[in-house]
Amino acid sequence: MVLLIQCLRAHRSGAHSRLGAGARLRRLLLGVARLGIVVLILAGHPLPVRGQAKDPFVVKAAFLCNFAKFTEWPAEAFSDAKAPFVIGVLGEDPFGSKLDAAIKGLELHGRPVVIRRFAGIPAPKEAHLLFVGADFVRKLEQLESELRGSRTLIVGDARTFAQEGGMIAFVERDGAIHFEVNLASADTAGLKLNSGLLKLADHVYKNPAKASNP
Amino acid sequence: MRAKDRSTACCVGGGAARRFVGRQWRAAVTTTALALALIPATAAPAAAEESLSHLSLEELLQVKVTSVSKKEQRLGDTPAAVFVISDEEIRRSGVTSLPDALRMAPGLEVAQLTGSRWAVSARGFNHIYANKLLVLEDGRSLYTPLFSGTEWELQDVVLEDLSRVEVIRGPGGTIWGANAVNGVINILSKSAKETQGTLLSFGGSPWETFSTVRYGFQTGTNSWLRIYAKYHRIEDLTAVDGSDAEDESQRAFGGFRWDWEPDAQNRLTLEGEAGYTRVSSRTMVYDVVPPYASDVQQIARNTPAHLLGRWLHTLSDSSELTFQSYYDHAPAEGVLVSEKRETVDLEMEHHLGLGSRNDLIWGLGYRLHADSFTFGHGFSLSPVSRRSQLFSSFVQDELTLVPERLKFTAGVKLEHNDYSGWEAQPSGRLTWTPGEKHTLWGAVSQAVRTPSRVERDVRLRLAVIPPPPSTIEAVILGSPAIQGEHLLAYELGYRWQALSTLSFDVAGYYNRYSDVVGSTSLGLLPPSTPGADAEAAQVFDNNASAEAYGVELSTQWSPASWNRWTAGGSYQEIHSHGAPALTPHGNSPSYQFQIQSHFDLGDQVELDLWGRYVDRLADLTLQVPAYVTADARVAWRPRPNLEISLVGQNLLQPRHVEFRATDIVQTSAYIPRTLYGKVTWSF
Repeated sequence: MVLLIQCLRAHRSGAHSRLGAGARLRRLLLGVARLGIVVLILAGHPLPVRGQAKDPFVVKAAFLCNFAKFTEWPAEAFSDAKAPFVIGVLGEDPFGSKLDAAIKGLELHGRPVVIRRFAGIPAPKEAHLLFVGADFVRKLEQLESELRGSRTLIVGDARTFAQEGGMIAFVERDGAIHFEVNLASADTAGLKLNSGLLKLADHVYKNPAKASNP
Repeated sequence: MRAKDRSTACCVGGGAARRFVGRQWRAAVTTTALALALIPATAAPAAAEESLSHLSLEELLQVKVTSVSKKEQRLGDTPAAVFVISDEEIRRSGVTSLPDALRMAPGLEVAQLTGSRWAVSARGFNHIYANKLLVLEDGRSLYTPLFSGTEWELQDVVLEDLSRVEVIRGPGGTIWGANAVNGVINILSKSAKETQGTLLSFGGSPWETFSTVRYGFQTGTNSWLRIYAKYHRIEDLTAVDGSDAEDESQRAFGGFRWDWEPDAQNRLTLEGEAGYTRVSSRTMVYDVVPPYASDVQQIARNTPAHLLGRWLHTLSDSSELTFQSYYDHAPAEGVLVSEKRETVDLEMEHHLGLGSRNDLIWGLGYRLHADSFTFGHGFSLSPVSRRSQLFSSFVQDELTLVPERLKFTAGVKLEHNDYSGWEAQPSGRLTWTPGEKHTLWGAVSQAVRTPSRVERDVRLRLAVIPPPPSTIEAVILGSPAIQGEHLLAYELGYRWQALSTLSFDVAGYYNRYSDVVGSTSLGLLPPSTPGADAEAAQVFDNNASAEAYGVELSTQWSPASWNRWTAGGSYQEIHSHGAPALTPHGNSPSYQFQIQSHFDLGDQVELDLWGRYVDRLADLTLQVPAYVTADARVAWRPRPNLEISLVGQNLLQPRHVEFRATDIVQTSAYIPRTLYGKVTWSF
C-alpha cells in the first residue's frame, strides 16, 4: 500500500517533470533540425526490418527457391522444354501457403514452378527439388534408395541431414536459418551446386550417402 | 540464464525470452500448429502471405526467425528500455573498442577520457568510476568490487566474434542483482559453432594498431571449439594542457570457447581467457614533504584470467535449467595500488511455465571475492585483504491477465552481502499490447547498489596543503557504517511498428535515489602521517539523495534493401541534494543525439555514416563543451571472405574533449580525428 501511495505521488511529480521535458524535447527536436540532416532516399520495396523476426518457414521457402537457382540440373531432368520445375514436399507440409507465396511469379531455370505434395514414400521421382519434412528425415536411407537415379535435390529439415548423406540440411541456430551441404550426395544425383552456395554453407560434407555405400 | 546466452528480454521482462525474437511468434505458432495438425495442403492460406524469395542467400542468412520450439518473447513485449547492438552493427560502425560500440545505444553516456580510459553510464552519474551500471560478458560480471564499477581500460574483445550487446537502461536488479541500478550491459559472444574457420583481422592508424587471429573447428559430431588471440595497442595522445598524455596502452590476450550439444536437451559451454594489459596514465601524487605534489606516470600491469562453464538442460518444453560457474583471477600492479583479486561464482536458474498463464523463473547464486592489496602514495585499505561473500536468490513470475493483450510481471531478488546485509530488490511491470504494432509498458522497481571496498575501507590522500603556515593532509576515509544506495524507479515506454520498414521506441523515467554516498567532514584532526601538522578528514556517508527524469527515443527505418537508418536521442535532468561523492549531473550531458546510415553500394561496397551530438558537461570544473562529430566507413569486399575497410573517426574537427577527470588520478586527453585501415580475411 505504501508503495502504491509512493507510486501515485511520484506519478504526479513525474507528470510535472514531463511537462518540463516536453519543452526541452521541442528544443531537442529544433536542434535536430538545425543539424540539417536531410533524408534523401525515399522508400523502396519493404524489407524485413533488422531485428524483426520472421516465421522460419517463410525464410525456408525463400531458401528453397534460392537453392534451386544455385543448382544446375542436367537436361534429361526435364521431360521437354516446356516442363515445369517441380518442388516437392514430402510428408506433412509445414509451409502451409508460405511456399506458394514464395514461388508466386517465380521462374526457375526459365520454367514455371509448381508445388507437389506427397503423403509418403515412395516419393515420385519427378520432383526436381524435394523438401523432406520432420516426419521423414529419419528415413533417409529408404529415401535415397527410392530416389536413386533421379535428378532430385533433396533438402531435409533436420540438423544432421547433410552429415548423414542428405544433400542440403536446414540448420536453425542463434535465431537464423543456416544450411549445410553434402557435395558427394549431390554429385551422385548428377546435380551441380554453384560455388556461391557452397561458400555460404555452414559446412560442406564430402562423404557419400550411407545408402550408396557399397 | 544470467549464465548462458541469456537475453535481456527474459531478464527484465518475463523470463520467457531466451533469444530475441520476433513479432510474428504467435502467427508462427498458430500457423505451424495448424499445418502440422491438419491436412497441410488444405490449410487456409492467410491473406497476403509474406514472401522473401526476392532476397539473396546472403540476406536470407541474416534474417532472424522466431523459434517455435521454445517459448519466446517478442522484443515489443519486453517491459523495459532495451536496445540491442547486433554483430552487423558493430562491424559496420567501424569501432575498435567495446565502449566505443556502446555509443550506438541511445541514452547511454559514453565519454573517452584518454586512449584507453572511458566513462560509461546510463541515466546520469557518469564517471570513470561510475558505479550504477552492471556489465556482464557471457554471464561473467565485469564489475570490480573495489569501486563498484567497470575498468573499461582492461576490457577488450574480439569484436568479430561478438553475437550482440544488449543494453537495458533502468534498473534490472530483480533478476540481475545488485549494481544493476541505472542499467545493465550484457555482452554476448557467438557460439563456437558460429565461428568456424580461420579469421585474420588487422589494421591501424598512427594512433592505434590491432590484430586478431581466430581459428574455429569441429571437435566432434556435436562439439565445436574456437581459439583466438588479439593484440591491441593505443599510442600516446595529447593531454588537454598540451603536454604528452602518456596514456599509451597495450592489451594482449588469448582464449577459447568450446560448445557441446550432445543432444537436444543439453548444451554445454566452456570458455576461458588469459591476457596481459599495460596501461599508462598520468597521476597527481601528493606528499607531505616537498615538492608536495608531483605529476607521475603510472603504469598499471594486469594479468587477468578466467574460466567459465555453463550447462543448459531442457527438462521439457516449458522447463529449463541452467547452471553456471566461473573463476576469475585479476592481479593488477600499479604505482598507487597493487591488487590481487579472485572471484568464484556459482549460479543456477530454473525457468518453467505453469499452466497457460504463468511463466516463472527463479534462481540462486553465490559469489566469493577475495582480495589482497599493497599500497603506496597515500592510498590504503584496511584490512589489507578481505573475503566477501554474496548470497542471492530471486523469483519472478509473468502472469498473463488477458491473453495476447495484458501481462503483469512481478519479482523480487533477495541478496545478502557482507557490507550492508540483506537487500531486497522488488519490481512490478505491466505490458499492454493493444494491437500487434503497439506496445505500452510501465514499471516500478527498486534497485540497490551495495557499498564498494573503497567506501568501506579506504584511507585516500586527496591533497596536501603545503605550508605556510602548516602542512595539512586532506584525506577521505571509508566508513564501517556505510550502507547501500537505493533507487526507486518509475518507467514508462511505448513501442510502435509504424510500417514494416519503420519503428519507434520511446522510454521515459523518473528516478529517486536515496542513501546516495556522499561525505561528511570530520574537521581538522591531529596528523596521522609523520611530517604533516594536521589532517582534514572527510568520511564516506549515505547523506546525499537525488532525483532524475528523462526521455530516450530511438527509431529505425529501412527504406530499401540497400539502405538503413537508425537515429536516437535522449534528454535528462538530474537534481541532487547533499554532496554526492560522484556528481550525478555535472558529468552527464543533458542532451544527446545521433544518426547512423548504412548503404550497400552494389555487392562489394559498403558505406556507413554516423553523426553524434553530445551536450556540454555542466560541471564548472569539468568545462567540457558540447560537440558534434561524425565517423565514416567505406568497405570493399572484392571476395565474400575478404574485406578491406577505411574508417574515419571524429571527422568534424581535428580534436575534441569528451570528459575530464576531477580526481587525483588521470589526465584528460584530446580525442583526435583519426583515419585507420583494416583488412579482415576469413577462410
